[in-house]
Amino acid sequence: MNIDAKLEALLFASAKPCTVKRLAEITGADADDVKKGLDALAVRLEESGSGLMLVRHGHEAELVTRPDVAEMVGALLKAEAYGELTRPSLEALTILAYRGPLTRPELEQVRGVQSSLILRNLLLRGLIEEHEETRLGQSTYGVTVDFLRALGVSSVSELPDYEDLRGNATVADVLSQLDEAQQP
Amino acid sequence: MAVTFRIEKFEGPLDLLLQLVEQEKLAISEISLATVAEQFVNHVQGNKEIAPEELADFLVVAAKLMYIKSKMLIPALHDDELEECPDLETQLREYQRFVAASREINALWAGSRRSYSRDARATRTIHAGFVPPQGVTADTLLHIMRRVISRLEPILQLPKVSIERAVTIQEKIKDLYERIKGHARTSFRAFVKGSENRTEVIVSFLALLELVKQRFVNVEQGEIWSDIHIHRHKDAPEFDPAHNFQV
Repeated sequence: MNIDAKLEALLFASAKPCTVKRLAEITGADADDVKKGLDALAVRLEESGSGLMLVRHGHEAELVTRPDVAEMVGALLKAEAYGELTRPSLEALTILAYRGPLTRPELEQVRGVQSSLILRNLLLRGLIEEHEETRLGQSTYGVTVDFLRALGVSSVSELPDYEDLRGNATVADVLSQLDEAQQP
Repeated sequence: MAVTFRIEKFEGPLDLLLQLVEQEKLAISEISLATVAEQFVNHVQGNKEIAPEELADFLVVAAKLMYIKSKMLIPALHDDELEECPDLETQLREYQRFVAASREINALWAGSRRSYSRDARATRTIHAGFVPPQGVTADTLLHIMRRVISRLEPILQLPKVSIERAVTIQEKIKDLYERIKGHARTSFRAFVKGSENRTEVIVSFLALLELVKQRFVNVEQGEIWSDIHIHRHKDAPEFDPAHNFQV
């Protein structure tokens, strides 16, 4: 069986996001092959017109239903509507989605205001998560796969103007100025 | 310049600043920032809706605005510390882009397109009380506690610098007024006894001059460098002199 078929089975059975590392351990393939397998699976689902799609986020992948059938699936599961996001929450999520993972000071640098409560709130709602890696002794935060599912996108790169806002020189500039200011 | 319109509600200093610039229909530049600097300060002053923990962030932006404005008036002005900070113009322009992007994200969030995974975990709503995230064990807590402690260490090692408490001239005026009201006479030495530094003595002297000017007290000095005797003026007004004093 091809690796993409194995991965498809594992992701179906898992019912939650799996890391590339975990998938590599189980399939016995190396991480690069797992990534290629995931690419192949995503293309196959897309091209065969499947009702499922693959969400990719950082080192994680999850098998989910296509947003086009959201209404039907929602009716089946009796899913509730998401509550509204407050302006500060929305701002923080947007910045983390495009530029994440970021440390709290980096996020605050872009928003211009302290954001610890917002972060805590978003963590509790499962919309963002704390990452393992730290920068300058600070934890980093990024949006979760749950958040991407809520938007119905298969990866952050599908967000509007992603390349532009992600790679934006001025953001990098603002953040690097902050880094310099924090260096001992 | 008077504030000519009311800003309804703002989230953070950059939001307020952006609204001010946009209401003036200006592009973001040093010139437009200098234009709205005063309005920004007026909004922050006495605004009870600003949470105390956010006030510092507002003051940072206010300070940067005042610096930009001062630089336009005095081109030679240069402050190393303020120049080091990320510049406000870039920061605001960037913020503006993310505000625009956040509207698109909101449309996606509120729209009908979404994906479901097999266990259909809806993003969690917040319940009051202690709700640990799924999969939290005693080990997780230990791990987190260790990290918290290791994060505190650099804070403990920070060099200790504290801001000296400034004594305002109003406080000194009030102080001297209270003394004179109670005792009718005192001396300058008695008044400055217990002063913590030179500045406080100078401020005390300025307060004394103000009270002389407002005819609350008369002063007498026998010879140069000798103590100054302070008496209550026979027609001393009844109201609080600190009220009459504007910096």
